[in-house]
Amino acid sequence: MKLTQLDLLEISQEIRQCYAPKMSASTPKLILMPVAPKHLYAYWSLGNNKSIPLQESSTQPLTLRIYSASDKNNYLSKGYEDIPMNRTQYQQDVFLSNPTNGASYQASLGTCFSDNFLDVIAYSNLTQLPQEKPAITQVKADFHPLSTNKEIKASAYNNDSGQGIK
Amino acid sequence: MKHGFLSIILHAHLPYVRHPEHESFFEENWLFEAITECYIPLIGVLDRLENDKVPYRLTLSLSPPLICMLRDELLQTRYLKYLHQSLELAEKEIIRTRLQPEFQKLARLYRRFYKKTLTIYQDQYDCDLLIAFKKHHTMGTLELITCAATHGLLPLLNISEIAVRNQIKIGIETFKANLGFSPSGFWLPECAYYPGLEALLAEAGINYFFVDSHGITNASQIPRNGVYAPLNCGNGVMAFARDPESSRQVWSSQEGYPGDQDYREYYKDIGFDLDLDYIAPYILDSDIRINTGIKYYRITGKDLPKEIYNPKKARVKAQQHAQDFINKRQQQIIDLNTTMDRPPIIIAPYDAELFGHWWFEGPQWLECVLRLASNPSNPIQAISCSDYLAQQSSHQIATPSASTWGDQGYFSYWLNETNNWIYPFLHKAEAEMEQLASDFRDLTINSLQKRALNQAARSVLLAQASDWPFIMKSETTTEYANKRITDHLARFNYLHDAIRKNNIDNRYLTALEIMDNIFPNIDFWDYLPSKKKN
Repeated sequence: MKLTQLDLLEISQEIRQCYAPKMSASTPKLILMPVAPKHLYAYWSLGNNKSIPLQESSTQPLTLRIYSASDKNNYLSKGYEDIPMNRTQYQQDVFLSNPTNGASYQASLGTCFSDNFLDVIAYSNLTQLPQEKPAITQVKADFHPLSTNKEIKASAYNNDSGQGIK
Repeated sequence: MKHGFLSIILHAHLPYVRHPEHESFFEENWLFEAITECYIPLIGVLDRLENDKVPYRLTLSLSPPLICMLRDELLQTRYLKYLHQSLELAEKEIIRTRLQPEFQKLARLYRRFYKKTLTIYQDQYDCDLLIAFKKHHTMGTLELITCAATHGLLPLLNISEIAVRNQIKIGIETFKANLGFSPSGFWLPECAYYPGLEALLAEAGINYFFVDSHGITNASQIPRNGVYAPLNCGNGVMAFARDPESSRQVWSSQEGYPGDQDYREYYKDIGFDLDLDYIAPYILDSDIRINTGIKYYRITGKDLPKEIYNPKKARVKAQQHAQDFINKRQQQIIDLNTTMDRPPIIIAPYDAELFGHWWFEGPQWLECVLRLASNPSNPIQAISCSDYLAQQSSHQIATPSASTWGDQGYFSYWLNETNNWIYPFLHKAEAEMEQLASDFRDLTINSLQKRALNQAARSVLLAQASDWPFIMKSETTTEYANKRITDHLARFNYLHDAIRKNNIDNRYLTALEIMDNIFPNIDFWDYLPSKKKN
């Protein structure tokens, strides 16, 4: 089959317009990802959850309850940490107050009641926090990729000596 | 008598950028600039060392996207056009600078440089630079290794083990298909490691990989020899650590060699400096200023007017810096020998594109370093990690810690407010791809379905490249990075929908196969939890 450049371009544009990624999930989901020591990133979907009454779900904040999977007894005194999550978003950075260095963590997302009961909507995967590193200077440059484009000012990466390395 | 080893590793990688749907495409210049300024000068270094019978050792990691682009006929043709255009501009510059002898001398230098590049590329290696690298590998001087399929940041794909396994497996298969042998080592994209990754590397036949220094200093056991001996991850796969000192001397903006005032200034390019009417044929769409590669000034110094570049002076400086680098490594080795139970190995990994592109004199420096390290009178010996492992039979057992060589040392450069939106989509596409493979497990599939499933797998892999979140964070070609992620996810969504509805349009599928032609031998069954055997 012979396709011209224009054919390819039109097909590419049509697919981009009609099939661009959109957030949708029919089932509740919670994913935890490692970012740095003490720092996780969580994203979630509440799906079509019917277990929370609509009125309640729209007013009550979401809570992310984080457990240390590898150090359950010592992770804070109660064994978990509750972090309020913004219900209007689907993602949030999570900073742990006193994590165990390099430990694995798991979380559940739900609505927390006054007696600390968590009505769970979704459970997360297990993720391992990176360990704190010793104080050494980071020396890897962060220039990339090769060419600059029109948006980049000629001096964008200049260091003190004028060379393009950070 | 040698007392220690130096292993220099260059990691050569560019994202897969190829746009047959356009007559020309600006971002394809990334490859063309790298071929001209980095890869061919590197081959020049290797050829000269070979001619002089220097017993050097160097390791080069070739990423699968780069391997595929170097072998691609469309990009080879477009590169020749680019090179001829550069040559034409250099010739035009010789005329323009006829009343400025110092500048004309440099213009002539650029003409010689482009002519030589053309000879090496077209005549010597028939437009296939992999031939050159393989030649040096076969001679035993250059160790070639590879990387993940599309340079995916493996710890952030680890929501699915299949995603990580396929990045490794397809990367290695691409290397084998193009170089003809299995690599012993593996470059983790951005040195990004998480505990457990070694199991998948062992499964793929890999013997060693690299992590940043803190990956080893924070290992599950205190490393007896610091970062100067590899750790056995417990399954026979070895982790080597980057040496912070030799890295700093090259990477650092404060102490690094590339910032020396005698070296060529990267940012003073005639594409930005000359009259628009004159330079128009050599810039983007005749009116958007870009780098042309012709630069006449040296770094000079902070807040000083830029002075003209002097290649001879810069060459002398590169030699001095090479000697300084070797001296410091020798001193390091002498010091380490007093405390270590074995000869130390200093691991010095760099992006290959630093040498020649950002640091114009980088290839000269590298050649000098390799020549000096081969001098039998000094206590340091250049070595590859494979050779080192062949010499040293027992290694401390410990698991490295999660780390990268990026800013801050962890994953925040690839996961932050500028780029975190991509991960739900990447993970969803991966899960849907795996579900597709599972759902077709017991069905008979026709050739059209098979092609669509394979193309869907290519789209998932291309979307997973670490380059796109990196660019979003660095705010360079952000629009292009967004477009690429969106395109690959949209193409996957289209194919997923068409496959599910059994409504695959051959014309559309063919168009996607033409545009995203990476990994011709991909097998979507790799996305099954336990792969279906034929």
